[in-house]
Amino acid sequence: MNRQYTYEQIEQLIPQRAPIKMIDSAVSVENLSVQTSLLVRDSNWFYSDGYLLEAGLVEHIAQSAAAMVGMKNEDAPKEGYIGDIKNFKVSRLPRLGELIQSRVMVIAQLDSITMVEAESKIGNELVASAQMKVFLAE
Amino acid sequence: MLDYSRIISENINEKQAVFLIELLPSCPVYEGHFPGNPIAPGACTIEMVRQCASIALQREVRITGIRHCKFIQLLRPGTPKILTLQLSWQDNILNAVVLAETEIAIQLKMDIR
Repeated sequence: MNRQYTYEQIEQLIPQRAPIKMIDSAVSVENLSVQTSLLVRDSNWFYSDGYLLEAGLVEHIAQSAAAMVGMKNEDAPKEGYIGDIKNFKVSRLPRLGELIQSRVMVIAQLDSITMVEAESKIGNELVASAQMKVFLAE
Repeated sequence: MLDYSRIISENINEKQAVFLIELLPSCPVYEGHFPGNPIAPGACTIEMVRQCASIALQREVRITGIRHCKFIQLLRPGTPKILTLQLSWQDNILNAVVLAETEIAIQLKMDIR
């Protein structure tokens, strides 16, 4: 069963708010992965001179992982932090108006630590990938 | 990314640099990260490292990869007031360490161009 969250409903999944809310939509795919999106707007916190910065991709992936965890919890979203990033690669910076679509898969989960693998694409073009550990506050 | 941090001092050498930095509690990012509980977003600190590297290398540094980045301590703006950022680079690899007082808060190794 796939569950879909719109822009407004994202706040049920993640605790980050404007100006650093970095996902626009989220869909869970068979409880194993989540597909998120982010349109590059000039109002984005990490927007600079026509592009979304590298750190914007990092935060977008981290919040996508948080959304995945949020879908499994019925409670109010917990605050989460990046613990560890490995093999983050950026092939190019997303431009203004481009739609980033990311797929995040859980590799391992242990109590409050979730390890994910993520890929971000624009159309069919892979622009970023990473492995990340996120921690959730108790 | 306005108003996230302020450089208090910089000491730049051929292969390394040290910056003393203050994270600004008034930064609007804390309205959203998190409401009522300001915690420095790790991604903002990565951008801060990129900006300091750009100053040290006297060019706009782009991150092409992060080999490993470890967030050891949560950082709150203002506590401690001053952070130390140590950068060192060779070829296209940049190493960064953020110290909160004498403790390592963040360790980062990235590919740049």
